[in-house]
Amino acid sequence: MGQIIVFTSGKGGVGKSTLVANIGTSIALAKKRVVVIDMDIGLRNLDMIIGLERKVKANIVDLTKNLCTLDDALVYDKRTQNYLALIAASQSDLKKDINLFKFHKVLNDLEEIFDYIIIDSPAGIEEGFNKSVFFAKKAIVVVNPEISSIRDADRVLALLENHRIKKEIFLLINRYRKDLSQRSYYISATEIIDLLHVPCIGIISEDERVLRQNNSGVPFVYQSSFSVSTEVKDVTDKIVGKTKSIKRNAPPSKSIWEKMKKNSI
Amino acid sequence: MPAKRTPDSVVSFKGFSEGILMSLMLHDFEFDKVIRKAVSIYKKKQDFFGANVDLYATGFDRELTDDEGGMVRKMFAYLIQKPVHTYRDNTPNSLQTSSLTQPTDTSFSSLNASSDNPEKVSSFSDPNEFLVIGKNVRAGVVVQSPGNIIVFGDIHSGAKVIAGKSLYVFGSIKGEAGFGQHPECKQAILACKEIKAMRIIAANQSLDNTITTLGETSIPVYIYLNEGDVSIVKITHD
Repeated sequence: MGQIIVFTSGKGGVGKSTLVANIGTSIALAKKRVVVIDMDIGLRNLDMIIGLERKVKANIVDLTKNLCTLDDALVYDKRTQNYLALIAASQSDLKKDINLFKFHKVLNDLEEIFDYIIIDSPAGIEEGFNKSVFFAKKAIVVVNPEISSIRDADRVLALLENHRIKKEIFLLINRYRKDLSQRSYYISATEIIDLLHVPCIGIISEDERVLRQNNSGVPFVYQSSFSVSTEVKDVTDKIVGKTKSIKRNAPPSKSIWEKMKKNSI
Repeated sequence: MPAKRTPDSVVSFKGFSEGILMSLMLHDFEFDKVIRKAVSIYKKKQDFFGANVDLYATGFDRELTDDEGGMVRKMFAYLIQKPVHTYRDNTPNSLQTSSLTQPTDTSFSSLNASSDNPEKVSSFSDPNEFLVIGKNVRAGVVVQSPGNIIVFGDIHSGAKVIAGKSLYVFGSIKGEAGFGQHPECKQAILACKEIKAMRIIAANQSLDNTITTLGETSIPVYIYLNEGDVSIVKITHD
């Protein structure tokens, strides 16, 4: 049975699609069968970042409407010896065109074929977000070290924590600059983890070469000399269960009476 | 002329932390027909919902009365032997429910206006209620209780916690907090470990200026409300 993982953030432009493309590729290079699904209906771009846009013949909306077969919608990446597959989003449909029950059926079929099903959620907390996160058992919330991204991530975490389908939730800090972490105006990774109170699965640095790789349709994990590639591979290891995630620097939880005693004057 | 409501829009189902929340339209149609429609839709979806999930009933724009709740329970028991609970928004479960929905009339302005509005005041029916929240209150979550509230965690930026009486926070307040909001409340206290608040309301007084002069502080702060007078005490170990 495959594992369904959703990448979400609330705020747009934090690097969800870039990370989905690269972590998906990295998992595939580790010889695990993985499918990435672009759920940003109407604004598809994951296919371009992976470099498979010319091969896309059908999309997730076609699949849920039974207008094509699963084989038609799956686009395999030969560079990963077909371990990586993509199901693209539709550009002409709307988010409401995906039927949740039929989407569930598609996921069930994919779980039989793939080890990992990675869903790239759209920005926002509306219909597209709800459908993307609904069936996921694991959610990775991507956050940038800026206050607006952290606030939106907090809102998304509240929705995920209270979702009727319990999820394992992790934080992934993206576009982080270690050189600025000591500056007073910069929000450090420790502060982000403490603010959001969620285990962090990794920290990905800011690197302008990522933009070049995205525009050329070659995920940056193929460039092993990049430090971001190593960071993404570390995250991949945690996803596939080789290493554990970073816990926040919180004191051990205490009983109510211990807390009251400690805080009483 | 208002658009005629279709039969399909008289009932909706959505998931929340306690189970399935079934919202019923209480106008326009005969209520027994609405319940029958709800039963037929529930029967179609029950495999998806799961057999053991709890079912709660409420109205689209208000909670069900006891009579309406009883009618829903009886018809569901008679037609499909499914127990139904009547959903009450002022139960502790409202924390989870409110986090799934956008804030509506729980803003400070509406609460302050409530003292002049008997219908709004009716939501403050039980000032002895005690709500304990054992986790952080995240952005977008609105918690409201007619009585006291204890939060074992932080109130995050973008969250709102509004207590009819006192509010005790064993963490920092970074969002909005209100206390002493019950119209009959004369004395109340807000106690917190750390204050970095966006907005604090004591009864119907905004403490924005006071908090600005107080500045961000990482030491415990008590704010007392006594017959409309507000006093702030910073707790130091000196």
